[in-house]
Amino acid sequence: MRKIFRYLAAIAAALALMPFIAVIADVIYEPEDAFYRAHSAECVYTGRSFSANGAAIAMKAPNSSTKAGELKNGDEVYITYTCLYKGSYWGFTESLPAWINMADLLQVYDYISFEQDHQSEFYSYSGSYDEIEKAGSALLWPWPGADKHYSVLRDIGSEKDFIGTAYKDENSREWGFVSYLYGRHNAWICMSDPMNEALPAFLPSPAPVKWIADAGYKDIAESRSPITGGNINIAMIAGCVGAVVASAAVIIKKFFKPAR
Amino acid sequence: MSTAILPSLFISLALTIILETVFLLIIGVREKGALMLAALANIVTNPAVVLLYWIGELYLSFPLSLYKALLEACAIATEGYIYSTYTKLRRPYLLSLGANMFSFWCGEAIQIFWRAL
Repeated sequence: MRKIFRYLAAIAAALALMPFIAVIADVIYEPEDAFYRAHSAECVYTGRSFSANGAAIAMKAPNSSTKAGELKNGDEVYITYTCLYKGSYWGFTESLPAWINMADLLQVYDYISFEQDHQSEFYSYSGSYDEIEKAGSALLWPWPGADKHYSVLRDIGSEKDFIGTAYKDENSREWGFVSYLYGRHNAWICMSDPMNEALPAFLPSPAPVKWIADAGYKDIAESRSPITGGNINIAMIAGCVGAVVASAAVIIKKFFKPAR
Repeated sequence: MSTAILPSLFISLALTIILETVFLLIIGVREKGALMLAALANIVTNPAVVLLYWIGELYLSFPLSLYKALLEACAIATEGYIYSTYTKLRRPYLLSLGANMFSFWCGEAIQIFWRAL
């Protein structure tokens, strides 16, 4: 019996200890998204909102013919990851969850869009936090000049130095970008008038535009070869699993006698 | 395929062994040899079905629920065969079915709970 324990311990050690993730016990583990997990090295974090440009079909995976949902024209969806598969870009949304062809989506204007358009006007903020300290709170705007704020950051107190990047609008109002504070991130505060809800919307929601992928995507269909670069290939994993299964079968045969 | 499957294989197997052992204890199986054999039977079946399911989910257009049921049936049959060959437990295939269903549904409940957090 002790020998069996030693063998089992050896198998357990061979499987190695890794960080805990959500699983289904017994027969089958169901990943959050199988396609992403299989190709995470080729997927790029995007983290932006898009709207459907006409009806958009969501698929189980870029290489699947199984439909997972449908978007109507104008429906907004948050895309976490994008990938390139057989020449087309696909975006993954947790809300369905499913993959959508990026050609069917338009990029919704956001803080990144504002940054791309006004990067040359940004500067490092070295001004005062007096207005914020007086108000104690500040409205959070998606970008300077947006038609509406989306939240309020309360109880800021005497917090300082949380603004790195600043922007001055055409009316000389100073805006500060909040990377992260009290769980809020990627928002703008009007440093000159932090609690004014009626700030002029000099840049109301611009229309969504076609998304352009950055360089550096690897086409998953082309990178799938028997021996892959960054990932352990299926054959190696199958070999390890086979070795474990065979070991267990050998132990059973060696240490247990047929009972019938 | 990324390394993400490796912890999944290990944790699925660990949970399966724990839950099926609990089931066997509940129904009155106390013999250490039988419990050890059950753990080994799960090592024979569980990693293989998890890996085959992952591969199937990536590349098959076959309905996955049917595929999963097929894999589950193979695991039950294999474990039932091991119990019938190496133990004197009564109704080994029914035992295997019960143990697998118990751990499967416990696993479903765990995942629902985990996603709700």
